[in-house]
Amino acid sequence: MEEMIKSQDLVYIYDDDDDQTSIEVTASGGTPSSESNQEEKPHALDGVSIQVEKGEFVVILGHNGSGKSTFARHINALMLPTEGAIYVEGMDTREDVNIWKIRQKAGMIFQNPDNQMIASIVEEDVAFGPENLGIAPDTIRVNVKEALEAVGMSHYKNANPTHLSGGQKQRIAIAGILAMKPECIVLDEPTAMLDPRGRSEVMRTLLKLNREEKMTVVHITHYMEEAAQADRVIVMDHGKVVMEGTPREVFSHVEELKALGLDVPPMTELAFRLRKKGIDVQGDILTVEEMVGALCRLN
Amino acid sequence: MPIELRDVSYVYNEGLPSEHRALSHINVTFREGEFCAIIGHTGSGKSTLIQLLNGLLKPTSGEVFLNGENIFEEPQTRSKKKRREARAKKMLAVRQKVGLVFQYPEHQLFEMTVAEDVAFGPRNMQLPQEEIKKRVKEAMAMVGLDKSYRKKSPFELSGGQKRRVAIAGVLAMKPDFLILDEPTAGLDPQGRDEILGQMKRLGEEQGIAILLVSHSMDDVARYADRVVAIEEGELKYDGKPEEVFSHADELKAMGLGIPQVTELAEQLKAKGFPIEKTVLDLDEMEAILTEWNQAKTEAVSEDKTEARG
Repeated sequence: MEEMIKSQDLVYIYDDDDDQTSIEVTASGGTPSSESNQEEKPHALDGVSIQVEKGEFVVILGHNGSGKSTFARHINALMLPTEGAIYVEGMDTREDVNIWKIRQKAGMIFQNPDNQMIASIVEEDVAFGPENLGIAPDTIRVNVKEALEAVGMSHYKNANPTHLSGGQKQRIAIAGILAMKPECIVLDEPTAMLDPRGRSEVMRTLLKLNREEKMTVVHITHYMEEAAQADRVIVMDHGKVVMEGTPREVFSHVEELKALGLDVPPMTELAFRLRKKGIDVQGDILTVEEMVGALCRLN
Repeated sequence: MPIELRDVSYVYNEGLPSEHRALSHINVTFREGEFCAIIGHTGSGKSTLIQLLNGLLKPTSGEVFLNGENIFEEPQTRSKKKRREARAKKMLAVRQKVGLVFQYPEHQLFEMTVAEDVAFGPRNMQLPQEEIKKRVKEAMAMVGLDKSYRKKSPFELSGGQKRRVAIAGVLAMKPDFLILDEPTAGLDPQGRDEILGQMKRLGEEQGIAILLVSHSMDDVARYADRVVAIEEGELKYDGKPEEVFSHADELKAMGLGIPQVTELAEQLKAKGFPIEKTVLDLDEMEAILTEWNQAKTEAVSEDKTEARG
């Protein structure tokens, strides 16, 4: 497997006088993140070494202030490491000459869809990225068309983005990234402001891009049922990676996750409690269907 | 003191090409002390509904009553000035009694310190200094912010803490109703449980009615005593969570879904498990399955004894 993203002993220390803090604030689009929390200030990232393979679907979990957003912003050089390094396809984010290549390779989606719409017509909004990269108009047209097809929004190409639902807006934002032909999409809580329908729209789109187009996805979320669908889950706490593995492996640590202020999917929790009561279901159940299967086998 | 909507409709941009009917003929009453969840997908009309409850929007037709009084009734006086004054006074009273906390309320913090931010509402009510101080203290305690936060800048707090400051600002006006529009969006599971747990306690201890707009069916099942579901501007369901969540297929078609544990109970029921009611939380499910397991084990051992005899 080839590496898409590789970070080595990444350390980030917030500094009030640093311009990057203000960049973070505007870039977050008003994320209620606590990355600026004083207690966290010393080490927002504290020796983070993460590798993401090409084509992987990785979910990062962690309570607010654990450093996940800070890490995500390091991937496309919105923030630069205080110590250590992070490479995107082997390119060091600290090298100025790499920045635009890195941002084209690893596109980023934020929480608030409204802050990410810039044009009054969907097509134009999607074309904004490739236009800035100086791509030829004919190619842009093809890219935009393909990107809208990939997120299932071709019908809306002439619509006004402000009239769309939150889930649709996020899909347009994703199309805007796809039109730049990236290798990787990094999403910082893209579903936090959406209703259940919008959430599943975005999740379906991401899974389809990952499975069919082999897109590398790094997805930050607080929804455990979304994490359950990833290839790999990384759990962060106090700027460090504290757990890593398949969703089944990670979620079977019910008590540790709760101690970290996180949840497990409800069915995993139920399995955990039933096992304590001596009911012999597997401990790594993630979905309702698996639970029904396990209980029917006992019946 | 209830809030009552009588045959309320609301139309945006009436008479323009962009005319849009957000609510049609809504009849609903919210009562004191209840914890009621309002559910519906984006664009269903929930936000319009909550803005009608405290007079931020005026119904296109129909009436809104607070404690039996029509909040938009024209004052009975000939003087234009007096009418205007009476209207303003009434609205101020309505907004004080029905507190509304918008989505991402932390974006509305602006004062230098937490205490000043919380004091903004009561100061606008022109209360005496002593009373303001007392209310700030009480409101901060209600959301679990201790004294050490008073002099802090709201901007150095975490997301969940900022949100609690914003809620305290509304509580300091001593409302009878607290309406929260997705108060847990963007918070982590711990922050979410803290805020919802505090709201539940506020209802129980202070008798404040909590109206919670939420997209999380698990949270709704866990905290609410009543669920109001809105679709396409109409009231679709209004009842106890177990009643409303028994309409699994309809809720899914509305883009809402049901809690996973309720879904599990439905599927197990279909497979012949001894489940009679709509199950809403894990504790209940755990109890049912433990009992089922015991009954099963006993049946097995009885079979064995019989076989031996």
